[in-house]
Parts: sequence; C-alpha cells; structure tokens
Amino acid sequence: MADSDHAGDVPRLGTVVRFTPQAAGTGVRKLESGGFRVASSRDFRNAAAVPNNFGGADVQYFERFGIAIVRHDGARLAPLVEQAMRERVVTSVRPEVVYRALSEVRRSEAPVTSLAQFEETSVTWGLEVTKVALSTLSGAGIKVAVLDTGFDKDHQDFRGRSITRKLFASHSSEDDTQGHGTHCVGTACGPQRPTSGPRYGIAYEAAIYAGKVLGDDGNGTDRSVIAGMDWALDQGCQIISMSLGSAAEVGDQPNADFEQIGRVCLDGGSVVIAAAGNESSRPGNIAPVGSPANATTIMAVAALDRALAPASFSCGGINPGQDVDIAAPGVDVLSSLPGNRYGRKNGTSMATPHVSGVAALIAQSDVKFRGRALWEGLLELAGPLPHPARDVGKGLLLAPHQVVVASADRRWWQVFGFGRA
Amino acid sequence: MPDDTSDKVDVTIRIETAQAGRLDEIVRALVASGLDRVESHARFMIVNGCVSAGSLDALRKVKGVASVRKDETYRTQTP
Repeated sequence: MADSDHAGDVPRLGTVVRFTPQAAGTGVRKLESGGFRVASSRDFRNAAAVPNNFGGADVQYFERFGIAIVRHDGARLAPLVEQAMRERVVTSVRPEVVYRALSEVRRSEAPVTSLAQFEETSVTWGLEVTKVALSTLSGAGIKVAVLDTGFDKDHQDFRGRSITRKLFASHSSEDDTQGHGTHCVGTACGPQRPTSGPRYGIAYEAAIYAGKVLGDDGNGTDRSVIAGMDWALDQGCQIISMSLGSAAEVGDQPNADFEQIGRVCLDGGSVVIAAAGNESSRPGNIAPVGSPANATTIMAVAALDRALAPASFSCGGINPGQDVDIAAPGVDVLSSLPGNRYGRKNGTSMATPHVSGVAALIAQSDVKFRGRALWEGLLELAGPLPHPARDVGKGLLLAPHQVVVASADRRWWQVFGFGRA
Repeated sequence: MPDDTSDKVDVTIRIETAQAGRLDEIVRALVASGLDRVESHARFMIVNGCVSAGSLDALRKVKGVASVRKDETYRTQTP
C-alpha cells in the first residue's frame, strides 16, 4: 500500500484498533515501541481545526474512546496487534470505513452460510448470520415496542438506556416472571458490549418500550394486546415487536380485527412484527401461521435453525393469503434473562425480535423507512434461502449496511479472520 | 382474562370505520346493551369489554358494529 494519505481524491483508509479500556495506555505504548508515531486527539484539543491526518502521524489516538486509527498499517502492525489481542490489550480491529447518507438500504455482500459449527465468541450466531455484526447502525433515535411478558429494567446490560414500561396484563406483577420478555428485548435492543458473553443485541441505542401484555402465566388476551399496541403508537414507536400468538387451524380466516389494527399501524408509520407460531412438527406436520401474525398487515416471522433450515416447530403459510413474510434465527438463541442472567431459548418468539432489531437499524438509516416503506425495506434486504416461501417467506433476515468499505487491502482481515474477503 | 363473573365473557368489538364520527354514541349503545369494563381504541375502531354470554347478539345488533367476537388467548411463542 502507498504511504501517502491520499490516492488521488480518495482518502486512504487505515485500521481501527479498539483497546481494552483499562489497557489503552499500554496499547499506545506498544505501538510507539513498535516504531509508530502516535498523535493524540488531546494534542489538538485547543486547535481551531483537527487535521485529517493528525499532522502526518502514523497513528491517531482518541483517548476518550480508547480507539486508535493506524494509517500506515504495513507488515509491522500485524504481529503487534496479534500479540496485543492475545494479551487482551486490544479487543478488536477492523478496517476504517467511509460513512455516507443512505438513500437506499443495502445488504452485505458477504455470503450466507450455515453456522452449525459457529462458536459464539464475540457475537451470537443469530447476529452473525444476519450480518448485524457488520453493520455500523445502532437504532439510535428509533423507538422499539416489545409487547411481551415484561422486562427486567435493572438488568446490568441495560444501565443508562432509555426504558419505558407499562403493565397491561390483568392480575399480574410488573416483573418479568417468565423471562421471555427480557429475552426478546435483549435480542432486539440489547447492548453492543454486554457485561458477559457475546453480543446478542441488535439495536443497542434504540429506546425500549416494554409493554407487559402477557401476564405472569405467559398468557394474554385481545384486551391487553390491543391496548399495548395502542400505547405503542401513542409513544411514537416505529416498530412493534410481538413474540406472541394464538394457534390457527387449517381453513381459518385471518382475524379481521388485526387486519384493521395492522393497517392503522402501517398508516401511522409503525410496523407490527409478530411470531408465526410454533405448532409445526416438521417434516410431517406443518401448521398454519397463527394469529395475529396471519393478518396481511402484520409481518409474520418464521424461525430458522443454525443450518438455516426452517425450525421443526416453525409454522408455515398453509392457509391461503396467510403467509410467512421473512425468516430469522429462532433456535438456540442466547439473550438476556432477569436477574443479570443469560440463557438460550427456541421459538418464533426468538426470531421475531431479530427482525424487530434489524427493522430499527433500517429505520435509523433514513426517515423514509417508516410503516410500509420499512416493511418493504426488510423484505428487500432478505437473502434467498433454499426453502419454500411457504416456510421462509422472502428469505433470511439481513441487516443493512450504512457504510461503504473503501479499503482495498483486506489482507489483514483474511489473515486474522476478522472478516470475509 | 375471564371476568370474575363466570357467565361473562371478554369480547373484542370492531366498529365500522365509516362510523368514526359516531364512536362515542356507539359505545354508549354497547354499554346500554350490557357491555362493561369498556376500553375504547378510537384509532383502531376497536372496543374491548365484558358482557354476559347471553348478550352477545344484542351487541351485534348495535348500529355501526362490524363484528363481535370472544377474546382469544395469546401465548409466548416458544415450543
């Protein structure tokens, strides 16, 4: 790679190194001892303007964030970073990227593969396969309603977050005694860097609206569910996530009430995303999508296993016009549980908040993605799967990319496995 | 949730969207026909309430009512 900071008019991009918070000073000293000239953002604190190249230094160090951008990433950087990661001085490295305003959502071009053997060292398999881990979007400025069994707002991973809770279920406590709601909120809106374990949350800067519409027994009725949806619209939520349902029979018609309610939500700029249901016993028996997901105005989400096949329990589009719209990870899903715990759950319940979280990322990317446009954006991004639309709809949920990766030199990431060529 | 009174059922009532201007009047008529624990969602044109099982048909006869159905139970979707 050339040593100049610009190749024609295209800025030459570097490598972003994030230090372990307690070891940032050590990390900088390692770079300096390796012959890199380091300029700190502190050096320019009182300057009228910060030069893009930090005065020609090899490394731009942002101490407030514990991040360094290495401009001259020749062969000498590789062994330094490799050792620093082993010593836990560095937590991550990635190529620097160029940001631009989005006029349309774009999906990752990285190939979709089975994650049967994927070890969840940094992210869950669900976030990996949906390319959430590659997205720079966070859900900031977006309100996500999760209508479920409640939410443990005191969970250690949600400190400092914008959280609004409301109880709609009758004869129930305000707590999430089931743990289901906390798990779903975790997937949709959990943190970028959890206290323990891999990243499991998608829209980590979205505002959380947790409506408890299912009681302490895990059940709710139309009264509580509809009241929760009305509240979510009152609050201005762009996404309403409902990992709940009632089984439908073959030949059933969609519930006309939810047809109407879903339409009002779309007209109001909100997408309702609901679990397709778990009544199947594949391969022998595929049960129809349940209510309210079978309403054409509510997005029905099927569950995939790690092989990216429909989960054995996942309902399908058996009844005419009551289709699965999209599929997302719903087996062996790790997320938060009440009491600062974590755990794994299965179900279209778990697939649904994956879609809701990604919806928040799309909604963040451009205000035009609201209501029906957001619905279309989700389906447009979906990746094809070798399974019938009856089972997976438009295919695999995929997260949008707001960035254009302009670095041509990907050797780093191939060598260390931090990304795909 | 079932009402404390065993012969009562929770219901969801859909109002014809063309009757939006008459919603309050329709709700009053529903109450007069036996509906209680009323919760009205104007933007959805949906009314939730509780009624004795024998009064369901009376609710259906109220002008502007599109449908009346007994509430369903919704559950978490984990197998």
